[in-house]
Amino acid sequence: MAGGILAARIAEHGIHPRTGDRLKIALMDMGPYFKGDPKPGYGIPLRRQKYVNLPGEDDFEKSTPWGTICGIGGQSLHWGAQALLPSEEDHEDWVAETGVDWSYEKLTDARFEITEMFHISPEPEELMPPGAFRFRDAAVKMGYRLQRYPGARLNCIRCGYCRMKGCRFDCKSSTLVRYIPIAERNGVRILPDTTVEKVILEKKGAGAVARGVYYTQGGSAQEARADCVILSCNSRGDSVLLFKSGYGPRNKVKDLIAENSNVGGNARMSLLYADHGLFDEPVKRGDLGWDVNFYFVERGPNGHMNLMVRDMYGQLGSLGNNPTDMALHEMAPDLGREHKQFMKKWLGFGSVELMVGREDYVRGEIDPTGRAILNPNHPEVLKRLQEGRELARDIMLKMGAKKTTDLKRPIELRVTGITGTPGPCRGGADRSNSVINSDFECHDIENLFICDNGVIPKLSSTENYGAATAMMACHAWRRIVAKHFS
Amino acid sequence: MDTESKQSAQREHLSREQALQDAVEIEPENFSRRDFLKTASAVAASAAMAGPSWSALAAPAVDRHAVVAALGDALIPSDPDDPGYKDLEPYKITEEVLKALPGVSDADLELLNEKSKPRFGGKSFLELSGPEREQYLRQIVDGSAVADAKELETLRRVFRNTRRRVFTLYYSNFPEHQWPKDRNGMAILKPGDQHQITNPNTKELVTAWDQIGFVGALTWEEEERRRNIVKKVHWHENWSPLNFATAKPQKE
Repeated sequence: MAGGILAARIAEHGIHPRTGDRLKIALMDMGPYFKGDPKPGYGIPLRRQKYVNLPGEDDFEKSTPWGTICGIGGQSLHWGAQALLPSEEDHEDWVAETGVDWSYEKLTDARFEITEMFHISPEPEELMPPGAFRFRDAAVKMGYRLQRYPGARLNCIRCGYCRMKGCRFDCKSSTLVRYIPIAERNGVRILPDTTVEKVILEKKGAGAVARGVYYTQGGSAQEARADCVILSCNSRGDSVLLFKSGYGPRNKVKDLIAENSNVGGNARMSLLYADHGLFDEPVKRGDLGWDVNFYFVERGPNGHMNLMVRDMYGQLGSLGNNPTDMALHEMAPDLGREHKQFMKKWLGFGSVELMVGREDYVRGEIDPTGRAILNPNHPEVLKRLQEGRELARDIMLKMGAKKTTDLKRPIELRVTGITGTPGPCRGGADRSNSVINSDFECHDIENLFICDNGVIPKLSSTENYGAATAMMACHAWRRIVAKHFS
Repeated sequence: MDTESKQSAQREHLSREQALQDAVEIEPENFSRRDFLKTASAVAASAAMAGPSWSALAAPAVDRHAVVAALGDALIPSDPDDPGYKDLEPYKITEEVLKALPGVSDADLELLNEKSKPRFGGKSFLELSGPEREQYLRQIVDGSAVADAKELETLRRVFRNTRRRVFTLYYSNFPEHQWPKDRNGMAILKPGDQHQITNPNTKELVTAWDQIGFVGALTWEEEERRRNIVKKVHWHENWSPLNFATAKPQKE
């Protein structure tokens, strides 16, 4: 997500501080590049041909060893475009936790830029499914204050295939279709199918200096020397690359050059769960779909263990929300005509999603293979989610649901390859609690910058790190250009 | 079932097995022609490998295809004007199911086929009527089909795995569920296609998506329809990322 933004804007605005020349920037990614200026609402032939949008199938064959997508555009090719930006409370939490200078006010320009560039806006009511209004009305009657959930889409024709699929129509905002065209026009050299193996580090005192990268392209090992290196490989990729390069905790790094126990540590994750309801009338629209429409937050004690509850009646066909998923759902009858009749209520089958935010129970780390070692099933988290399930069930019954997921089914949260994990390269006041400073400079390694979801200390008000990461990148390029390339 | 009854049932089972064996060995002409042909082919295969012997004339091997086809039909039955699993047999749905049916061996299917007999008048699963098959499968689900816990576990596994595979395949819109791709993962387009359409569903056959109202990847007509709707609500024609200017940060 972040790499495309950084490359584009630094190339656009940065100059060599000594010579005043335009910068030479290379953007490397393990995956392919589906190049072409965007046509939002229509798409271009190359991407339309690539993104087949078959339910149950991923549009991307190539993934990293830890399960995230490869390709120019990164995870932004694959996200669901849910774009609730961090709240003021999130920023306060960051400052309080690590001392990083990322206040809500300081990131105003970044927030404004990403809102415009990603076209972050709520779903118009004319396009919402009937379930969204029933959800809203039921929750309002229960005394909750509903808000409209923003999405990062432009000219979206509502195919319903956002989540974990490529967008055939260039509607879903990604760095590929919003920033890479800028990068191209500002001379960024884009190197797809290129794997960075290591950052070249030279020891300097207790730390090091980054001098470039070793990379593999077309089966051949190569080296690129650079005045600075910016890592945007996702929290897992950054951790793995830093370990391989000789930087991190002593017990994870084979040939240690510089030590920092925070690299790969302090990992957090979104704690999400969904329950379904079956309705006799449609809650989804068969003709238009996206994802989320309305949400509300039930605050926990002292503003902790908050519960976000949101309707998902816009989902149609994305991974996890297609006819096969419905056929195998626990609510589905075992067999026979009963099952067939159940399936014919496809438009009456939808979910409410829950998120527990602002918790301090689930923390973990990234191991040297990129696996996230976290146990999200803390009893307090499960207890809060179970309360949320009861609330969701009440709402769905008030909406007229004939059946809802069995509340006795135990909750089991899982960490997968695509689970976002902020924290492993987090920003903070000093190296005792963080990996980078407020200007995205690595504490221990000169000329090394890091910016992606790993730099965010934690995220409580929103479950999706995509928009938050993009916002951080919009702040990062400003800081990097101001301090180093003006 | 209490111990005595269980033992009695086992004795009955064994005696029936023995009776079957005896019949095979002594009175092969008492079999149905189908059984005979199956047995004969099993014997021929065995003889080709190890020479003829009486042990080769065992109970006929289960017809894997037949049992899975019957399971599929029970899972998704057919009615006039409402097709089901067996309407897709001309398109070889059972062959497709069998390509990826883990954890279901021939012995497992044979067990499922045989274990209906005590409760359904001696009829195997394949011999049951449609409603009887459904009843038997429900007994497997609720645990009343057999007394032996290990057998029940096997029967449930067979049911679960087959159910998962059949529903996954059927509701992915078989046989119109895939789109061919080249070695680079790019969709192979139909000749003359100007719009890169990759929806495998057609009007030629009623499949799962037609039955439930699932649209799938958009056709060109559907795209245009939706574009026309959204254009009336919120649209920025010719938007470009190059149109949004950002100020250069001040040097520090």
